[in-house]
Amino acid sequence: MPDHPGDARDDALNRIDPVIHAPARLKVVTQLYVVEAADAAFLVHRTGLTWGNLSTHLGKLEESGYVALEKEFRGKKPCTMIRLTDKGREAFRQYRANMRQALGPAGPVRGEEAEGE
Amino acid sequence: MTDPELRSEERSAFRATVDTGLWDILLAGVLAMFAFGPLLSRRLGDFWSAAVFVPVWALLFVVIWLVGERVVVPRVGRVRWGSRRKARLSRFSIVMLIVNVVALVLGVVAAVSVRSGTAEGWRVPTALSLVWLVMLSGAAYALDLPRLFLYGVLLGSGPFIGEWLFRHGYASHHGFPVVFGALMGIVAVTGLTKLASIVRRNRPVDDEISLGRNDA
Repeated sequence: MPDHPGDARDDALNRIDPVIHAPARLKVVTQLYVVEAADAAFLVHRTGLTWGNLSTHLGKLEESGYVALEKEFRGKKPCTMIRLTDKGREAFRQYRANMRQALGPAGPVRGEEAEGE
Repeated sequence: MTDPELRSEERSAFRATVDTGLWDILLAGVLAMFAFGPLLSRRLGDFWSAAVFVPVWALLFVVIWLVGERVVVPRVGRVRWGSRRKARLSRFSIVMLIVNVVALVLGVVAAVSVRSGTAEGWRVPTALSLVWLVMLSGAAYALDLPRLFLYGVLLGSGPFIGEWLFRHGYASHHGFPVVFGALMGIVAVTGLTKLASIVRRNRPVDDEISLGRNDA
């Protein structure tokens, strides 16, 4: 257990998963977390990423074992469904917990927030 | 990202794939029976003036399914929902089944009482109004589409407005053709506008091309 709250925040920050932390991948993982599986068209529609970008980020997530691609057939038409693996779901849960710990207690006070605006 | 935010994200994702205007168009098809059925009843009789809409609905359903598969899905995507959403949709199906059975029974009772001349005052419009309200409120809740609450209120008040117009000599057939015709128009235009907006804002995509690298 760290001695100071600041140490705990540092620990949490150090544990932030860089694979999920990238904004584009965070969008993709968030969308996949709230459903069981979705196709690429859904992810493009929901995240606003281009096809090329999505493909690249899915590749990185797949390399990390966070997403799995499943081939399906709708009649004769092939369809690829993408889902978060158990490892990916756990990683996202951990990411959220770390972010809460890192940002939660050190959130801006009202005065600072007003100054910033 | 908090749990409420994730729930809100799930709702938003669900709406994005369900609120495509196709349900509105299907509902407008159902309303067509209430609008045009009474006008056909003199020529076709009560039974056939309603039964003639079954093939129309079947055709409409096929067209909507095809538009969904060929036009909407390539644009908004396809999703397998999580267990919570699936459970909610199953409950919705059960509630809709019960409401439809009750509606069918009420419809038969109403038809018999109208024919035998025992239908009293506002009983039939009240029953029809309640069915619309329950059905559309249930759908609004289960599908997370607040617009359906508004439809419920509009369709729920429709039979009363129709009856009032009829009693004051402003409309024939208990006001059904006027009221439900107008509502059918509103619902159909809303659905078509929604569908057109989805088609305009999203380009169709073929995931097999873009994800081809995964086959390598």
